[in-house]
Amino acid sequence: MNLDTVALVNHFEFIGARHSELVHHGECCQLARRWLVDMHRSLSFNRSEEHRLHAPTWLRQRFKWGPVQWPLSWCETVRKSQIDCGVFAALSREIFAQQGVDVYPAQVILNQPKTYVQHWNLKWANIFQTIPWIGQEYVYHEVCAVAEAGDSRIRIYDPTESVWLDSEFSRGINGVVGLNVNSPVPLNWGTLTVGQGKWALI
Amino acid sequence: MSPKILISGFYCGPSPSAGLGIAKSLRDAWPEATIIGMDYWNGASGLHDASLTERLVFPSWDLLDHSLHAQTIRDFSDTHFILSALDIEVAWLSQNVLPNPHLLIPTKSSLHFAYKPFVRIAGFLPFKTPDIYIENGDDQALYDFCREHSWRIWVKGPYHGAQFVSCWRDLDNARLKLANAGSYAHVFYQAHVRGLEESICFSAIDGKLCGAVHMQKRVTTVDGKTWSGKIRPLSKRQLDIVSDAVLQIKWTGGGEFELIRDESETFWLMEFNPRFPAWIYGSTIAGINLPALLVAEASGISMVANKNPTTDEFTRIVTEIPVLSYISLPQATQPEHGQVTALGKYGASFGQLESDILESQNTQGNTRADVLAPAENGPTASLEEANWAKIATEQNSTPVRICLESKVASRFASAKVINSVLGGGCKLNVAYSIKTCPDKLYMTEAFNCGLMAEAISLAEVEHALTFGWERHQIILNGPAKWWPRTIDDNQGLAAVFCDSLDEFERLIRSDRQDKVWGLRLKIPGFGSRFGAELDSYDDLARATSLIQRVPAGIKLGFHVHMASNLIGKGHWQDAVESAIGWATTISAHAGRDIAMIDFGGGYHPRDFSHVPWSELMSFAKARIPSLESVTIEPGRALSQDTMLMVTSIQDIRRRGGEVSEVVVDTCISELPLARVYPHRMFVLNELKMEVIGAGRARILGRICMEDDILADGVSFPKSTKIGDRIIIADAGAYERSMSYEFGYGRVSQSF
Repeated sequence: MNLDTVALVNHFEFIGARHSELVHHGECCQLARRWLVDMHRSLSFNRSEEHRLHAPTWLRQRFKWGPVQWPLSWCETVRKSQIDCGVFAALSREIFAQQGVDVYPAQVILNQPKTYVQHWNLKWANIFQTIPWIGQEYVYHEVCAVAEAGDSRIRIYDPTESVWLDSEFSRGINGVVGLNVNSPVPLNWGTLTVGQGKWALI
Repeated sequence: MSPKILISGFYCGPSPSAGLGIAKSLRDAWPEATIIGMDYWNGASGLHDASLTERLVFPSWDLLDHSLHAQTIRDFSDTHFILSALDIEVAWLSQNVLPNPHLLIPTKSSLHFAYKPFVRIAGFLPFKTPDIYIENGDDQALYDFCREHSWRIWVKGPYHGAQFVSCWRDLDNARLKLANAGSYAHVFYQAHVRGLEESICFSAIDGKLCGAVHMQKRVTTVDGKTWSGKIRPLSKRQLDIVSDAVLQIKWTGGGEFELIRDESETFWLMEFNPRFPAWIYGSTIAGINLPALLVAEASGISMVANKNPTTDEFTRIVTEIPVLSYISLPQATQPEHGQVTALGKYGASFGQLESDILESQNTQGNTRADVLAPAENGPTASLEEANWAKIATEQNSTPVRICLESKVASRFASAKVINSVLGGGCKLNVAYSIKTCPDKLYMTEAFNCGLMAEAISLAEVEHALTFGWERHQIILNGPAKWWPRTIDDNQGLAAVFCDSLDEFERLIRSDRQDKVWGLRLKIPGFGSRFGAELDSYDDLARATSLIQRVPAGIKLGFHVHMASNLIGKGHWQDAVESAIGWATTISAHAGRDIAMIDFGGGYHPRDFSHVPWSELMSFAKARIPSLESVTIEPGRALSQDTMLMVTSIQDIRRRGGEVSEVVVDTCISELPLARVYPHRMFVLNELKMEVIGAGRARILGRICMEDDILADGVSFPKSTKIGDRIIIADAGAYERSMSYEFGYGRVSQSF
C-alpha cells in the first residue's frame, strides 16, 4: 500500500468505529437467536457432509444486502428481507459461535471503484443523511474472523458475499486493504498479524 | 532454433479442448516455432487462430482409417513434438504409436494410474477420494450406495459425461443415456463432494517434473468449466508431493489433478486428466508456461521469450475471429423435428473409439478388467430367492401377487425386538403404518407383536379398531386426517400430530381429548410439502404461542417424517437431529415439556435394523430431559420385500437376435412404483431361474399407456420365450396398497 492509500485509510471515519451489534430485547430476541441457529442446523446438513465447520451460506439466499436503520434488534432483524453487512456479520457470529469455534468481529476496508461508490451513496442516501462507511475509493465492511478453538490462525468469512476471503487478495474490486479483528489475543491471517483491535494495513 | 510441434484438439466451444491454449503458450515461448494444429472437425474454431503455422483437419474418428492415422502421427513424430489435448486420443496414441522422445504423452503403463473410476495415482497423493460404486448390474447394492451417500450422486462415464442425480428415477435415466452413448459396463457412480473447485496442473518427461501450478476456479460456466481463475505457484512441499507422484508413475506430457477443497480445507481428488487443461494459457499468462517447459525439456531448446507476468489471474472472453477460407465452416445440419437449432456433430464421433479403447484396455488385462469383473458375472439369486421359482410355477394364472408369509413373520419379529429398546431413559414405541399395507395378515401381525398403529385418516383409525387396537394405542397423522368424519370423532387417541399451524389451532379450539397433541415439523431445506412451516421467525413465534395453549391435561409431542429411503441416511439423521433442535426451542419458549418425539417411517427394509435407535434416543433425551418416548412408524420396512408379483411374458421383441422388449401381463396399475425404486427381478425358463440383470432391454406392461414401462436397461437370456414367468420382488408396501384395477373391464366405483 502506498503512502497516499495509507493516508486515505487512516482518515476513514469508520477506522475508529466499533463493529455493529444487534440489540437484545429479551425473550423475543432469544427466540430470534434460536430461530437463526435452528435454521442453520437444518440447512447445514452436518451428517451428510464430513466438514466440521459450516459457514452460514444460506444467509445470502435469505437476505438481500441493503441499508437498514440502526439500532436494530434480533427480533426485528430476522423479520427483514434486507440487511447490511453489519447485520450479516452479527448473524454469522451467532451461528459460528454455536459450532464450537472461536469467532471474532472483524472489519475490513475494501477497494471499491468510484463507479460503485456513487451507487452506494445514492442507495443509502434514501435513509441516511451521512454515509460514513463509503469513502472515495474505499468502503468499510464487516465480516467474521473464525479459528479453531485456541488456534491463532484465522479465516475471514464474508457472509454478505458468502466467501472465505483470500488473504492474498488485496488488489482490484473488493480487495482487502485493511483489517481489524476484535480479539483479545494476536491472530494470524495468512502472513498478516492482526487482532486486539488494531488495524493492519495490507 | 525453434521446435516443430503438432498439437491436436482445437474445439473452442463451451467445453473447450486445450489445443489452442497449448499453441498460444508455445508461440509465446518460441515466436518462430512451427506449430501445426490438428483436429477431426472443421468446426473446431481454435484452428483459425493466428498462433498456428499450419492446420490439419482429419475426418471424424468413426470415418478415420486408424492404421493410416497412426502412421501419419508416427511420421510427424520423426520431426515434430506431438501433444494431444483429447483424453481418448491420448489413450489411442498410447496404444497405437510406440513411445518415442517426440511423443509427449503418457505411456500405456503411466495411463494405468489415470483411468477412472479408481484413479490409482491417489495412492501417491495426500488427497481424499470420494466413494465410488461401479455399475455391476446389482441395483440393490447401488441403491444402498445412494442411500448411504444421502442421494447426492454423480453418474459418470469412463471419459465423458457426468450427471448429478438425487433420486432413483433420475439415476436410471442418466445411466441409460450414458449407456446409449457408450458402454454400460463402464458407467460408475461417485459420491458428491461440496466445495470449491481447484486444480494442480503439471508437465513432466519420463517422470521428471518440468513444472506445476495450482489454479483456483473463480468463475465457471453453468457446466462447471473454468472461465476465470487464479494461478499460484506450488509451495516447496506441494512441489515435492507432485514431483514424487509423477516420478512414481513415470509420467510424460501434461496432466491435471482436478480437486475439490471442502469447507474444512480438505482436498479431494476427483479426476486425473492425462493432458493439459483447457485453461493452460492462463498459467502461461501468470508466468508459468508448462507446455513450453515440457517442450524445452524434451527438445533441449531454450525458450526464446518468457513474458513477465502482469497478473496471476486470467479470464476468458467471447469474440469473433476471421475464418480461414481453406478450412471454412461446416454446413449447418438440418435440425431434427423437436430440435431448437442445428447442432454441430463434434463429439458424436468419439463413441466407437471410446468403446474400442475400453475394450482394448479390458482385453489387454489393463486397469479395468479387475474392477469390472462383477459386471460380466452379474448378480446371482440368493438361497431365499431361489425358492421363489417353485412358488411362481405353482400359480395357475398371472398376474398374481404372492405374499411371503414367513418373511412377514420375520419382519414383524424384528420390529417386536426394536419395540422394547430403551435409550437414554426413554422408550422406543413402534407404530405400524397402516397405509403401507392394511391387509389382514399385516394388521394382525402388527397387533400381535404389540405394535401401536399409525393412521392417516379416521377411516384407518376405524380399520385399526376392528383388529383389536384401542384408541389410546393409535397415532393419527396426515394432512387430511379427519376424513371421512369430523374432528370430534374417535377421541382418546395416543397422539394427534397436525400438519399445519392452522390445523393445530383448530385442534386447540376443539373439544377433543387425546393423550398427546403435537406438530409435524417441516424442516427447512428438505423440500417436503408436509408439516408446519418454520422458515420464518413469525411461524416459529406462532408455533410457540399455540403450544402454550395446549390444555394442561394433554401432553406435547413433535413429529418429523422424512423417508430415509428417499433422502438417504445422512440426510435423514440431519432431519431428525434438526427436528429435535426445533422442538427444544419451541418447548423452551412455550414453557411446555415435550413428552414424545415421533421420527416417522419410510425406512428401507435393509436399513431398518441398522438405525442406531439407542443412540438417537439418547441424543434426544440429552436435549429433552422431559422426553418419555420416541415413536417410529415403519411400514415399508416391514412389508416391501414380503410380496412378489408373478407375471407371464405375453410378447417378445428381438433386434439383432437379442431380446429388446418383453411385454408382460402385469402393469403400472399393479406396480405403481416400478421405476421409483429398484426391484429384484428373475426370469423362469424351464424351471431355471435367472436374475434379470443390466442390459439394453425393456419390460413393458400390458396396458395401452405410454408410461407403462416397468423396467428399462435390463437383459434377458436369448432362450426367453412367450409364456415364461417373471418374478418381480419387493412388490409389497405401497406397490400393494397404492395399486388399482385397470384393464379388467370394470371400475371400482360406479355412478
